[in-house]
Amino acid sequence: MKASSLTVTLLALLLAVLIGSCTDKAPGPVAGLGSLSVKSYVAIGNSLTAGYQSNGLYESAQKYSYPNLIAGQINASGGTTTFVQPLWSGAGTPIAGTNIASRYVIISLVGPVIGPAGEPAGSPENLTYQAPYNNLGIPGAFIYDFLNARDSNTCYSALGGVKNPLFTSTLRGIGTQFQQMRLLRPDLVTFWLGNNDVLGYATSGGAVSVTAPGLFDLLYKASMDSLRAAVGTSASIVVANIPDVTSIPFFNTIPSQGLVLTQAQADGLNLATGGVFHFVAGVNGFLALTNSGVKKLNKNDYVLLTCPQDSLKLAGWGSQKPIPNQYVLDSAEAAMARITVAAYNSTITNYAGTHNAVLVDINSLLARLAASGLTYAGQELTSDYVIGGVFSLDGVHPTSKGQGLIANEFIRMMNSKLGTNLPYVDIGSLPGIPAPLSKYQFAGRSVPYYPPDALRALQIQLY
Amino acid sequence: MTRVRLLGEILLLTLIVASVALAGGFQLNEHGANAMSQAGAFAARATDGSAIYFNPAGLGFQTTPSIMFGATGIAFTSSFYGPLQANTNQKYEQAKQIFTPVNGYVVYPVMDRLTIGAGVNNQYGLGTEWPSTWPGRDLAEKTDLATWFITPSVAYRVSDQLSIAVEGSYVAGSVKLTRGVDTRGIQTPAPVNSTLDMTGHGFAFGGGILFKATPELSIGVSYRSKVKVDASGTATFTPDYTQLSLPQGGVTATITLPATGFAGIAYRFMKNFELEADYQYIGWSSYQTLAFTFAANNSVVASAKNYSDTYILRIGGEYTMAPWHFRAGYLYDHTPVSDAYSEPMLPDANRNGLNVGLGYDIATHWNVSVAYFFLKFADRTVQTTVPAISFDGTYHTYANLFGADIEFKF
Repeated sequence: MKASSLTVTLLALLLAVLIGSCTDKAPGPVAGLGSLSVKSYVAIGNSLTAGYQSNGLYESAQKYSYPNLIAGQINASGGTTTFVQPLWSGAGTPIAGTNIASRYVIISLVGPVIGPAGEPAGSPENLTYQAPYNNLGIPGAFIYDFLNARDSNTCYSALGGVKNPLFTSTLRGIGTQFQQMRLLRPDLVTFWLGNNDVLGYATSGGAVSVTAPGLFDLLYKASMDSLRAAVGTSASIVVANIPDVTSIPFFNTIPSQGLVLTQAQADGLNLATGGVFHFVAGVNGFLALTNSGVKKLNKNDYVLLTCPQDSLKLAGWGSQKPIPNQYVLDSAEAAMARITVAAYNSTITNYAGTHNAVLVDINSLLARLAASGLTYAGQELTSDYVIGGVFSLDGVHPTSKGQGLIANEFIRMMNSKLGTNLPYVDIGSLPGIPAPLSKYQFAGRSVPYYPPDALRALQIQLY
Repeated sequence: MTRVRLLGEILLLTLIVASVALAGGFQLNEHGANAMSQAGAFAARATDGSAIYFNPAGLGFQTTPSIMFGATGIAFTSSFYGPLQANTNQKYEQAKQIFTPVNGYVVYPVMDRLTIGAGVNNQYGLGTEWPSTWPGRDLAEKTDLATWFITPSVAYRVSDQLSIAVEGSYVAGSVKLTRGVDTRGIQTPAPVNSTLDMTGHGFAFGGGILFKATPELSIGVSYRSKVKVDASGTATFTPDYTQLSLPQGGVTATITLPATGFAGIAYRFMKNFELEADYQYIGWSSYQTLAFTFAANNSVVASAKNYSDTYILRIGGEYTMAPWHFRAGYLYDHTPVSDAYSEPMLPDANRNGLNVGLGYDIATHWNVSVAYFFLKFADRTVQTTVPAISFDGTYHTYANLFGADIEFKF
């Protein structure tokens, strides 16, 4: 009797403790802006900042630009900043001199066909906005342009004869990126320029020269001096460095050693080429013209995504005829690009330090992505073309998910250095590349049917 | 050499890295309200039909025919805060669900010293259901698992102190897993979900020994083997975008339910008061990987589980004031899942359980028992999930269980 009443008392106590521990409240600190004030946020940059995607600039991609995503996370955490972008309606920016949108789409999975779909181009939606845009990312901008470009005639590429109309439509005659940024009196500036200073060299197979690292250093220093002086010491500046351009799918989708031969084909090619290249049965490097003459490509050489697939498959490119130089970034050129990127990044790290700016290491992020992929909640992101999820159809610019990845790296560093506790973007909820997928009988209607292996064909086609 | 893989293959790798919904959280030990109200510390006494679960040797001391049946209602509350990968403490709550495992036993002494029995119960079950739009949608949306164990037993009373028993179980199970499909870079017009709907069956064997050392002291041990369930069924992907080459159609898997065993010691302190303490072993290390084979392309999707063997400590007792029986107990259930493999399909954690119950002898030949069981999972914050899961956060789970049984003796 006594023992049992003791037991009952103990059990009642235990029950009280257990039920008491059921209170359901959030563990850890709640998201917030902390001590950071963001009344005005300005993003300076190039196509990456503008939200350019799949070879075009258009609203449905721009709304996932990393600065717009960052602004969204700021506002989701109690901020009230307004972030206005130079949006392009519909299918977006045109192919130069036409009314046809430049953006690539997966036109068909049969074939397959990827490229401009003949869509009518869109137009700028808010040209009459009565203030500078908060997103001052201009596709094609070089480091030189930040302090100097006012329109398509004064941008860096115009010095080489290529007038870039997006400078005119974005800047609208009210000054340079720097001047417009200053007008907005920002307390937060993100600054990501320099990619094009080396990317153009790489994507042209070495035909266009890089901005010399010494010149880059001068221009970057001038930019950061002006920027810090304009916004004052209390404003936050966040800068990003330059990724190794050779890790993007533009250079890694068509394998440099994609020539697969039978013994008879190898013998035939050896006979035709005088045995110089030692073709063997099985896997061989493509033949290509490089600055040092015709060579058989090895794994350190890159064939560009723009190399015509039909010519590789049907016209004997890479075997009977060398691939033209403009479609190949050979190992010497790739090394040049990497050395340049390393020099730029040392400049960026240096001036981020001297100007009290937060440094975002996008180079390491994309290196991790290329090396092993990144996973989140069961979803995998890699740097593979199309299916990797990060790079859009042009093989250079990020998809909306890729923009989310970049935004999260910015946010991670802001949380670490600026005292904020912003949540990250849910990358899984951002759109991937639209494909003309259709259910065989969707919503009761018959729709065009693609063979089940169409996407396999898409991948095979790319070789 | 080439870095572009076939989409179909990649989808398969990332598709259903599924964990079937079974684990500590899905093993059920509530198979009789009397035992349940004493925290399942019952193997050294096993005085009613649920002996077929806890220790079939208990049948050897049951000398009258009996029938017992009942059910347990399990109300489950579970939420997740995170994911830390997104630097949030966002709360996501599982849908409230109620599960009702049932139990039924027949005991029949065929001759002096020999008693046979048969039982039906659900030894593994439950389910989870997360919001269909939550960030973990590719890990888990809705999961349901049910098993039926049909167990004939034979017990032989060697002496007035010792009984031994053997038994076998036919096991039938069904599992249904629904979750999002990672379509990689491809944006589908509507999100793609996968549902694996499978059934299977297997066999287990077991036995027990119950030794009444003195009129006050008894000791019981029992064991049930693992169950290899060969399951097969259908994989359904909706919407079915045929271009994605998803392996619509047949799917098979082999799921091994773990071996389990009890060792208990009971002592009667007073004529009307006894206590029992049990150690239960669960051989969860049999659950190392889970692999699904899809008939459409003969592909295998495997995922690592790496569960560990684990245990439950149980203590319970009964105070009798005829015709009433007052019962209570406490248990500690150690999780078989490491932090690295914690996932929302089965939010597991160490658990503390508190049980109370009442028995009432309506007449000499029939009685009823009711039980209440409060089960609290320790709040579990995981920060080191493996890349295939990469979903860190805090799980907060508890359950209320209500049991009732009625027993007729002839």
